[in-house]
Amino acid sequence: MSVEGKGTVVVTGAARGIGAAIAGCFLADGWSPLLVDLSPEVEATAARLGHGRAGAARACVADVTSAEGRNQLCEAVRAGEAPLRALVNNAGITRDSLLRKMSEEQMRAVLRVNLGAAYELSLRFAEQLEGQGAIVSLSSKSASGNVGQYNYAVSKAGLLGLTRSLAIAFAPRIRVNALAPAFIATEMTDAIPAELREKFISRIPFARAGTPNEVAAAALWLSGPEASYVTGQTLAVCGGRSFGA
Amino acid sequence: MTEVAAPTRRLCVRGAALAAALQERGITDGEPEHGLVLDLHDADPGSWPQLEELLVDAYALSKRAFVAGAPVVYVLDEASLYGHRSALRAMLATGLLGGVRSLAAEGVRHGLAANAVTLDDRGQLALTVEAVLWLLSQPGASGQVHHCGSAHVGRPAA
Repeated sequence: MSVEGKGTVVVTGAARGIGAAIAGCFLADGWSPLLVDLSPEVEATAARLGHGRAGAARACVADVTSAEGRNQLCEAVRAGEAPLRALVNNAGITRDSLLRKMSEEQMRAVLRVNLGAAYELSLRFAEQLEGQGAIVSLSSKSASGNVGQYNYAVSKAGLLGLTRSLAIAFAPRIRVNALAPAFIATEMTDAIPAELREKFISRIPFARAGTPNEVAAAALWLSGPEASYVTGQTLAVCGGRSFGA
Repeated sequence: MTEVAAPTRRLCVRGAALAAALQERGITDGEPEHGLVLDLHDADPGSWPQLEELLVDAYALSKRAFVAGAPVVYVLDEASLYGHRSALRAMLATGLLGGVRSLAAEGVRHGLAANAVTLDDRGQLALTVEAVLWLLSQPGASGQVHHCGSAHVGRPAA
């Protein structure tokens, strides 16, 4: 791959887990990642990924659900040397609950982080991404519906509509795609009781959880020139779970 | 299509045209606890806050129906599922499809049904009424998407 075309990639929700892995994967490929997170931990993550090289990976502590936070992020993008070439909408939370117990606060919180922020940031950065940019949003296999995840499913399925609509609106100037990971080994899934985790894994043809790096590799591919004719698509990163029992 | 008998005499119907058409079939206005038909196929939010309110309203109405053990049908815009209209409308349509499938998944052990009907640009109201009534009368059908129209087959219209 040529160095031309690589530039800044904004990765939201990048303090840890899949977001941090995505930032690391882009960095290793020659991109300049800007890691964004509500948690100040993102600064240490950026420093760790950059192995102490100043500016290799930058951090921005910001709340992407607020206009103020998005303004902060825009300023951080402008302060960088490399032009913005990709946005990875990874920030996501869960507030799982059976619907009968789910509160309005749980509904709104998940919608705002998982869907609203992705929408607002995609529009905000569209002008800067014009030409050869890419947007990748992290949906989920739960977009197909899941027990105890009405809020999460609405948000992650909403990202699929966002992806399709923006892919049409921005074509051919910006490619817009989504990833739909299934069971990925992160701190979040580590907290699941072992018995339940084994049950999930038994339904995956690969018989194991995915890794954050496997999701990151898919995000990198969708953002790069190898995927130059791919837009509006949802790529399942699921070890075959989409077709499992 | 053969007319389907109305499964219940009262329903909460959001959507004026569909409510009127269902009224002609003997359905009177009710609460979500009687059953919910949420017609948002022509809803056109102009901003994220407006979309958030629509999604939260759908959640609140669905929760009331679900807790009462009543069936739910969402009526969605077919073209928006494919992203052919605004991003906000697309997020509304696909988001609620994910929601109705979660309702179905969660309701299966309680025998609760939740389904979706999608309309294309021809917007055949009579066909929609039949589809809604059929889905409300079939407890075994859940998590389904009934397409009223033909926009889901063949190449997308230009």
